[in-house]
Amino acid sequence: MWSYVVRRVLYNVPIFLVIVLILMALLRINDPVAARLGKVASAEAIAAERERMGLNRPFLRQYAEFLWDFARMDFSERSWDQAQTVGQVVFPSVVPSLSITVPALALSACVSIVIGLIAAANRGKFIDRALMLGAVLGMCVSYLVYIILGQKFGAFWLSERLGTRIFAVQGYEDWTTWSQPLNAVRTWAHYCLLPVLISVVVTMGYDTRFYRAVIVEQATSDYVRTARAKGCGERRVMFKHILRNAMIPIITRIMITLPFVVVGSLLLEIFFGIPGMGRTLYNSIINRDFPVTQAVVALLAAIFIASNILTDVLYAVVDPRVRLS
Amino acid sequence: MSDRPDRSKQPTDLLAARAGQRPGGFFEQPGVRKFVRNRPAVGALAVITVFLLLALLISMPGVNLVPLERATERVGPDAVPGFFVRASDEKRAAFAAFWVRELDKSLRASDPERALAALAFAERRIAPLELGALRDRLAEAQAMLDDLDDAMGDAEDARFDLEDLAEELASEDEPSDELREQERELREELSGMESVVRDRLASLEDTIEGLYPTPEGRAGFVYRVRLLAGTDGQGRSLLLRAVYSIKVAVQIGVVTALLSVFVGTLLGAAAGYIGGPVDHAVVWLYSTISSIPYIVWLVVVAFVVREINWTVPILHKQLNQTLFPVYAAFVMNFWVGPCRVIRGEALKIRGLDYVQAATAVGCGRWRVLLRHVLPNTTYLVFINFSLLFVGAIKGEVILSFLGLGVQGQPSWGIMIRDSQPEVVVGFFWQLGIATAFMFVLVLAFNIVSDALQDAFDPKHVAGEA
Amino acid sequence: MSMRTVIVACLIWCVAAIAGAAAQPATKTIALPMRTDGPKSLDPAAGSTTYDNMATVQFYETLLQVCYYDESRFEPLLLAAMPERLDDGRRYRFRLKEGVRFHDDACFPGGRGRTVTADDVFYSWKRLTDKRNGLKNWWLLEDTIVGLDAFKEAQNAALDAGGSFDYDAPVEGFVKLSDLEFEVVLTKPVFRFLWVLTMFQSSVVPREAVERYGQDFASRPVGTGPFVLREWVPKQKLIAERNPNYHACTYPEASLWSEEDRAAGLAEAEGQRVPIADRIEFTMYVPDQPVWLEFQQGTLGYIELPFDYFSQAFNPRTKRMNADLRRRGVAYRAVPQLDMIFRAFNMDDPVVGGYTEDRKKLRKAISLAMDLQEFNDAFYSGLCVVYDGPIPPGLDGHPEGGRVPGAPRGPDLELARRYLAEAGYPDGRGLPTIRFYTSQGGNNADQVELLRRQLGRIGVRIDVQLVDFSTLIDLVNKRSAPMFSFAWLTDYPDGENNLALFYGPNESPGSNHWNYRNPEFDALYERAVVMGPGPERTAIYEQLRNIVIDDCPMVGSLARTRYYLTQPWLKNARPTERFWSWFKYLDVDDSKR
Repeated sequence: MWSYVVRRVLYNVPIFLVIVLILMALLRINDPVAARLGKVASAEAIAAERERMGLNRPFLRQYAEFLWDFARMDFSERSWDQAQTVGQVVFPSVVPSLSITVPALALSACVSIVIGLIAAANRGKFIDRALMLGAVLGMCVSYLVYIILGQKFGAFWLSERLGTRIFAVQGYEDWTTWSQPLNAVRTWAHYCLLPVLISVVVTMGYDTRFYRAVIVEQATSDYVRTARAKGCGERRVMFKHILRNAMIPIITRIMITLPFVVVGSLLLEIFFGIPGMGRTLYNSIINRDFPVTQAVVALLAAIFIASNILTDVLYAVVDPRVRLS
Repeated sequence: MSDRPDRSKQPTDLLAARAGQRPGGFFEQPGVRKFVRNRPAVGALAVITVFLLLALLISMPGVNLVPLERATERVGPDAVPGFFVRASDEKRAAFAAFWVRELDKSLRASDPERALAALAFAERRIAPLELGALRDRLAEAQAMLDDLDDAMGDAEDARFDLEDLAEELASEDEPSDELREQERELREELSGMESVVRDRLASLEDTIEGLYPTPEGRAGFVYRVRLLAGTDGQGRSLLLRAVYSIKVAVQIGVVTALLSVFVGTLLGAAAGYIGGPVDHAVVWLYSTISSIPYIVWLVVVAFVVREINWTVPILHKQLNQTLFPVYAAFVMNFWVGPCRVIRGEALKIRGLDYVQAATAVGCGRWRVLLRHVLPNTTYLVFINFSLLFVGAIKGEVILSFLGLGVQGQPSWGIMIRDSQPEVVVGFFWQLGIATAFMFVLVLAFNIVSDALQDAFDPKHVAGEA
Repeated sequence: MSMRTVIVACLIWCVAAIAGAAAQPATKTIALPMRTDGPKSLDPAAGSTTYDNMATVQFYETLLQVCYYDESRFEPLLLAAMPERLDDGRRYRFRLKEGVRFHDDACFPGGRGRTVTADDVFYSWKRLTDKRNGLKNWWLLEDTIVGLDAFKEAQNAALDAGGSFDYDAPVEGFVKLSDLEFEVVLTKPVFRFLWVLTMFQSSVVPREAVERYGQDFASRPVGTGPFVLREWVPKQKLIAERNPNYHACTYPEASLWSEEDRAAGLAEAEGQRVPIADRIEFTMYVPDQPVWLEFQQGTLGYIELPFDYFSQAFNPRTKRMNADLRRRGVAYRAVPQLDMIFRAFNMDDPVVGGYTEDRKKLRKAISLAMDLQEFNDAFYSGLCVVYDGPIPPGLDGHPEGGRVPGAPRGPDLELARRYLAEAGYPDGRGLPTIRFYTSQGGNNADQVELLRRQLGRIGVRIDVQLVDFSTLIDLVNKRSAPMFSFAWLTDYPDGENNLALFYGPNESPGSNHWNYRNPEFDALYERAVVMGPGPERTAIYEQLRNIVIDDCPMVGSLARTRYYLTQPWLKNARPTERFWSWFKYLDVDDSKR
């Protein structure tokens, strides 16, 4: 068992190293220094800035130093863009991201599974076809269109109609600092609920199709037929047999998406001005703030790899068919 | 989307069909037959063909259906609604002011004759009048505009007064008759003012029609087509922009999907079939790419590539003015999908009897790969192609929103991005037309890939590819 | 089961949200917008952008400040009186105001802010020479103070050699007379020096704080300013609160204000102690739209009206504010910028460069073919001022009505064609396609389209290259862009700042991006720099301007006008972009909210 874990880790470490290597090399293709200085950048100022940013060191040394800092979880390197350390830039953006992605993931999974169930239970009937057609049509519209229309109707139109502003047009406030839970929820809903709903609507098309297919696959399998033949009630078949077996692919799918929850929804965050990881990452790329970009990407890769290993190991524990060799 | 367990397409059956081959030809294969029977899929295929054809007609040098200049020139005032829907009074006044301003500018130029000759909005040009006559007409129109402004200002003030009064009425339990009377009077007054506004607007529009007569005949028809979907914030024809964008979308879709499928198939087939260290290397490579969210690579690669200060030799354009950064960003991400699927399929096929037999007979590795392994993955290649095509078109919108997408020409993504402030003030035409065009193409591809899936691999779980 | 919880939770959220948004604290607070991401750093030595400036000056102060009532003048701020000009402007004697204390902060013994001394001034200026601070602002003091350049070389060399940067090392030009009195000796009597003392980069900072907080100093301001930092969430908000120990400083007297400003009620607060407001909350806005919406909701005190929204607030034809805003008592102020938007020629280029008559004719032909008014109408809602030459409106040397007789102001296509023929390219025949570089983003793609169209009218063809701003700078510095487009925002209200762009020794990679070299210009310019304002200097400025117009190294210019809208409840507001320390004068009238 342990040797299996060790092997998985050993297999994944080079992946991590190469991701960081590719990223650092990519970022350094274009010289960031001149772009960062104002309109009166003298050669001397450029040289001083390059030295300050540590770009005069050989590339491999920059790489090694970054890895060394990362290995020690030392995020005290200065951001090039903000008067802060990398840690001070990156960590505060975790909560805003999670306030969107976690509810969005939970909500869309629930809603999609329910719709998938309804469709699968009525397989071939009108309701199934209508739902699936809706899912396909929904998938054909760009994410951005949902966001634009969501903001227009959720934030502008609705508040014009009601006279009070339910959803913010954009922005974010730290809702976790409120002492009263009701206020916290209110603040959260004011800024985050609309993006969450948009995100749910967008992912629903894909998710519903997937869940329906999974459930249908189970519903047409032999053991379900046997159960029915045995005289089990429809409800019992649905929940006891079908749903339970469908849980494995469903959970796998959710597990796969989990690490991506951390980066948040880049588009939503940028559009709604939510200071999450996605926006931080995007800003750092656009502003050529390499230390932040590198740290965020390395963190993402690490989280992804860790959850990958965890999933593999869990499977190995649960399912004896997965060979540990 | 069929749910019946369809046993007709076990790999062996398919291979048997291949082995027997020719008798019924291509259309006799069970998968193909099933696909052809799927009417929506055939329709979708037709739609795709139309789009491809349009893209070809737009980009072919000899035809040039919609040249770039046509998609970027001004055809009228800003934000004209489509389908000749009547705009609000304020907007109509703004349109009128636009035409007057353009004439005024030309007449004030140092050589008005020349400026007037150049004063044209596609087919709609200034009336061929003497300079003096134009000057008089202009003065007339300007005076009318001023009158209109006054009338609209008065009406607005009255509207506000009425609002105040209504508030006052609502706040009192028993409003006095006097107040009610006042409100009634004001209401009448306002409707009088509004009819003045409408009259002035109508006569001003007549004057402008005299200054810029809408062309007749074919030119008139073409001009109306240009305005069919309205104009954007810079007075450009939305319809032509959306049509031109077909070319951009197809270009991006075809190039990225082809490249990604090519790279992915090659690597996947090689990995699955050859196995050993090659397999390890390929799997490791795509694990690396997929350990980072798609959008991150997309942004990083697009940003880095477009920043490279390099003039592309043949096009004589700065790298960031071309679509290369977009291609690079997509291909970097997209090859993984086909690679994974094809590798799996190749692994399966490798274990099949006849491939082993072929190897045993002494067929070379590469020969087996090319003759036996790859052909059996054709449908997967097509499915992946259409999925990636859709992915590229949708990805383009995201990149364009982030300012990292198409440059120097319109695209659906750019149109959707530009529509955002318009949507807020209630102008939906730009968003609508771009979304509609994109919707049709994406839907067609989705239907086709679903049908392919159904026809060739019905047991596959949707949404996983 | 979890489903139900989730649904219930959703319902609670919805209900809670409908019940209303988060409450606002009710103090004498002014909410103001800050465009873009806001400041990058609150360290004066590291700042450079407008937003760095806007934030920094709330906490730090300079020796002199621009007058609120008249932006073309300055007055003492940390000084007891205007500096004394000695030795024909080679030496200045300063006397600091008494009783000016730094903010109370843990870096001082006992946590109580110390009195400002001459040493603090010297220390703060020396920080600009420290390359660990980036040298971004060194150009302000470069070649100005005797011995400071040498100090910079020596100390940075010591750093390179592994030693330390010695701030105690003497500088010849810094002469301390007493704790409050000092003199500065200049290398040459440049008048500009006094303007530099109004710029936020020259603010006075305490050494204790810099040394104690190290790199965190950039986010922990300890200065003498009217406000202290309460909270700063980068890219989101910045909250400043009244400095209770602020030195005696009052609102400008009524007699100083112009008739017009007095009528606008700006003089009413005469003699009040500043800062007047208790708390200023800046919110950062990247997109334009939310700023405009928030302002309409009445929460933001003032806004700079985004160009795209101009037609929503004003009638674009008559420039009259719309009825709704008028009715709500919103006031506006058109603020002309010290701005120069231009198209430049590289004077070293074999085709468009050079000083011979035919090269001049070519450049003038291009200039005559362009219609800047059309750019103004198409891209700036007609709000720009079009003017000849490099000196923006509002400064000495700006031509009357923006026009200089004989300047190649387009559009004059006849003359343009004649000049083009005289340059040897009748109707553009034989003229190679000219490469034109501009930065991408904004509406630049549309702008160059218009330019291409305008130049096409006389047969001049351009090959447009839209590049990233950094690439543009790079190309220009390497002199490989024949023609390009730029904008220059004047740093201090003196035409000299713009004329310096044409001074030979400043050529690329300096700020003379066109590599313009004219000995006559250089000699005259050197005479002008050492002169104080006056008719004599203005005459020289005009001469310099006319030389530039005649050699035609650029086509220009446009100066933007920004429209500021202010709420009726915001008192004493006279928005300006020349300096940003005027927030201390603002007041709130809550009865009008």
